[in-house]
Amino acid sequence: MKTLGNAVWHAYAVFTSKKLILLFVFFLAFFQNKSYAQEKPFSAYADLSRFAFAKQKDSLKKAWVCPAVYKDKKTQAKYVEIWDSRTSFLIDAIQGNNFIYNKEIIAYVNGIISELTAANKDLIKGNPLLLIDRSESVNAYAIGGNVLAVNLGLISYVTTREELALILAHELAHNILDHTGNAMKQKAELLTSEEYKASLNDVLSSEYGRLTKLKEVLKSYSFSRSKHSRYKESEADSLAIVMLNKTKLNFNAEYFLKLDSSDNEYRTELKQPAKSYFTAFNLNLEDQWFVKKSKGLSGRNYNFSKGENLTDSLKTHPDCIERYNATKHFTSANTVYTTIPASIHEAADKMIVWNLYNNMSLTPALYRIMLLKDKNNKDAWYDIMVYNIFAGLYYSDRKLARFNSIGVVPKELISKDYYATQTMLEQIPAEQLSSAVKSMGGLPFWSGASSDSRGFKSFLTSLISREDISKKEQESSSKEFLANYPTSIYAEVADKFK
Amino acid sequence: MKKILVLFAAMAVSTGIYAQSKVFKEVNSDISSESKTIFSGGSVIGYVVFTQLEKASQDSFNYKLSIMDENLNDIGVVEFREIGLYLRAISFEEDVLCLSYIKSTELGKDYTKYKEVKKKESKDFVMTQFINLDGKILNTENISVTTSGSFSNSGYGRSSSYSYNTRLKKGLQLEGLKGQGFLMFYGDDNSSKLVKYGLDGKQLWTSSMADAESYYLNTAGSNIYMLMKNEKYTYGDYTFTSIDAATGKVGKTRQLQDKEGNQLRVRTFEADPQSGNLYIAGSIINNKRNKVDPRIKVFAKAMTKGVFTIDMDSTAKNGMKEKYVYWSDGSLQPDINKLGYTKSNKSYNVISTTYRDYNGNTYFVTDELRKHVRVGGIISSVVFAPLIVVPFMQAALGYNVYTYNNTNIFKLTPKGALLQENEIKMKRTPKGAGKADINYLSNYRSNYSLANEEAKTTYLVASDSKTTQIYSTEKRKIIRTVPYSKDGSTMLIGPAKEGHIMVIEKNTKEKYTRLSIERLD
Repeated sequence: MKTLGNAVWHAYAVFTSKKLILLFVFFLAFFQNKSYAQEKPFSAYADLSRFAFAKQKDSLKKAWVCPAVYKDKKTQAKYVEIWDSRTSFLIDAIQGNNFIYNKEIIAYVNGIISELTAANKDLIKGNPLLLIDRSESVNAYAIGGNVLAVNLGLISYVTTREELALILAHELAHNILDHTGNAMKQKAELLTSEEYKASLNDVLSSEYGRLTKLKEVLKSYSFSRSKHSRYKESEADSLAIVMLNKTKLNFNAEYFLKLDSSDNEYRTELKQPAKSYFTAFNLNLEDQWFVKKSKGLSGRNYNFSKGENLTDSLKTHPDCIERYNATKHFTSANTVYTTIPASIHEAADKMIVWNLYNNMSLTPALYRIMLLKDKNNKDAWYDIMVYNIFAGLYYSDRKLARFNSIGVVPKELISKDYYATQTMLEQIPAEQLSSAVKSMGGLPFWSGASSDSRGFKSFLTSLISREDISKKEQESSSKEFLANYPTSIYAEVADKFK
Repeated sequence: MKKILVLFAAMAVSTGIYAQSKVFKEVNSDISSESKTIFSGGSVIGYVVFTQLEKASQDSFNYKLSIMDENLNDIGVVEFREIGLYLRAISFEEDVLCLSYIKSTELGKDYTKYKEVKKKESKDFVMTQFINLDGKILNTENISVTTSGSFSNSGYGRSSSYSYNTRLKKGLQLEGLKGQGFLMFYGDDNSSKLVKYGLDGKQLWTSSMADAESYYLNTAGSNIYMLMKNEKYTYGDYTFTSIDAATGKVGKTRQLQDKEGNQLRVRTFEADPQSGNLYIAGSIINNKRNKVDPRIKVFAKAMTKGVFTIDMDSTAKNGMKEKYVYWSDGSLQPDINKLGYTKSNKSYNVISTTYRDYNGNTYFVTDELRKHVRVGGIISSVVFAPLIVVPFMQAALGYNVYTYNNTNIFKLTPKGALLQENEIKMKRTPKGAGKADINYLSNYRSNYSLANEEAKTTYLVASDSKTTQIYSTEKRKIIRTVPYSKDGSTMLIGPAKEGHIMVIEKNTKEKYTRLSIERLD
């Protein structure tokens, strides 16, 4: 790079006429198209929660001892059971790498939390333990016990610091108001109450309609829980606004309206036809593979109405419009907001794509890359991931697991372009898939690839080299990769073959 | 004292938890499910799970039908109340689902004492239900039937109970008739009937069918055909008729035999993928060898004389086009002689299935039947000859054994030329006793075909005890090999949506069943 840069500079110094400057610009543009910046690692194997939060996991185990609250032994026992199941949930999630450590994201989010804590010392007793959940869904949650989890999907979705601050304040409010603790208590009380037991006995003593009666018991329980939950959400919204005010962070009620469309990622249409995204990869994908040809029921005009929608009374969160209306008069006059740094979004987006790939959710992983390309993202790592996705799909096909890797979703839940992409992944014949992987393996974007990306490519190549590759051969390839790149995030996949 | 108190507390806690799980367990014990695949025009288009939810009253139950598309995604639920039901058949035509059940006043009821059931008389029906894709039950029709249902006892002591079981003498068959409605065939203890329903579920006509041991209904090319099998011969003894779709009038019954009077053994009775018209294919059975059980020695004496196809362009007499190719014609000689013996692999060809491609070629898939001498039996007979009993016992077992080796594919072109197309390597079966029926080892093999209308491609799915191989007719090669056992899981292959197979992975150790719908190629 250095030598070539010097040559360009030399050319500029020698030729100064307008024509030659144009020639130089052309040369520079040509050269830029053919070069790829050296890929930087976005995450490491040690960032997975099993390793990064090992200490916290052990201390949580010790610290989260269920307090004695009830004199009634049955209620206390039930409370302990519920309490312990929460601890197990969190510990299993840490052990299962549901969370990830990312220095920049954690520092950024913790920065907002510290600001909120400092301004609300009377409410918040010390900074909570912040966990970054690898899920792509736009969400954050309070676990209680001063633990807060923020999904990568939320980090990727929010555009301003204030928007993120509102959600963090809302979750902190849940912890302050001990909503999780109270919910556990209420559940223990209800499950051991005479009324609940009587209603269950009523189910057992009935000769007819037992399932209907049991459903009614559970429905009334969920209704009561949801009603409480919705109240708690409104309560957390109110406290969050108070906390934001004290922190001098702008509040905009329109953020609630924005949250209403947060789950639309896979309903978003692409800017170009799905097929055109693969032209850059020299993939000759046939038009017919993007079109559903099945005679099946999925292509019919069905309209079964029963049991499809969650009735309003069972929703745990109040409608976003309701939340907007209840809080709009608190919207700050100041309309200057701080944009979330691009590097934060970049890290979150990459980790989401990697997480989806690691879970073999290949269509969402690919579609997210296509959406990022629509935002003019030219990071070569995503090209590498397109290769990995096609290679993964071919491997799945060989292992008769292509269907599950694609995760075929009904058309009414996704955009037309997502459906077309999903259909292509489903319909591309194995032979063409194999050719596509081979052809992509020699594309120029590999020139800027990091050594572990190239090592992972070799690992995948070994997996798909033959149909009858044995478990031992897979293990040996895995061990080789892990020995060469022990710190690489790709080790997460390689480790599965060990 | 303290110890006793602790124990008491533990019991109290566990009783509380037990009470809750007991409710779920007991409610769950009333729930039972069965699933069925929905076919339309030979393709899988979806799935139905029929669930008996709970007892709704003394006589009725609440039922749920969960309808899934071809990708196993739920698309809707229909709930209804009825007396005891068994779901038996399902069909789909013009966006209407048709489901046939056996319905009985006694199904699903449990009695604890014999005297309670001694004088019970069940009223049995065939119930046909029509549901559109808005989840609306368009109509329900009931036909009273006479069955030999009875109460049977299960369990011991206190858990002993009596429950009613019934089935129709001739199983229910349901087929869609393109653009017109549905045809349902059933046979009770008195008669066998064919009923036509319109798309609105209204009964249009009923026809009585002649007596037969087995019936096969087909509605290829918007015509109605019935193939019937009788038991005069193990192989053969098929008759065939057509039924007028408008009136239900049953046409003339024809015996399936060649011009020399040899019986025809039907292996396929289905629609030609290209024309959509019915075709029948199978083997020509030598009448001289058709009166005894098919053993290896009998088979070796030219039990099959060749292959045949019958094409039905219409239900008219001149619409039937027959084609017979005999081993003795010489087209496959010198490798296959007049007895159907293949010299190159020292075996006979037992036709297991046939199928057609989109170019009008008919493929006859055969299992190589090989005769072996039972050397051990001969030696022991010689060595123990003075004992008399031993040679006598050995002779009773026979001095031959047989195995099934590879699978062969023969192609019959539209012009009538029979060609050796390919051979698929298979795991040899264990040895079967020479004096036993050659069908005893047929469980070790399974061959069936699949077609992809869109791509105009056909496939053969050939399984032995170790693997399932998928053969592409057009590429003339194996395109997938699936081991029967993989990483502690059992892998089963079945039909799925067009151009795909259903892979069922069962792992008993880790207790999971994974379904996957995979491309054929």
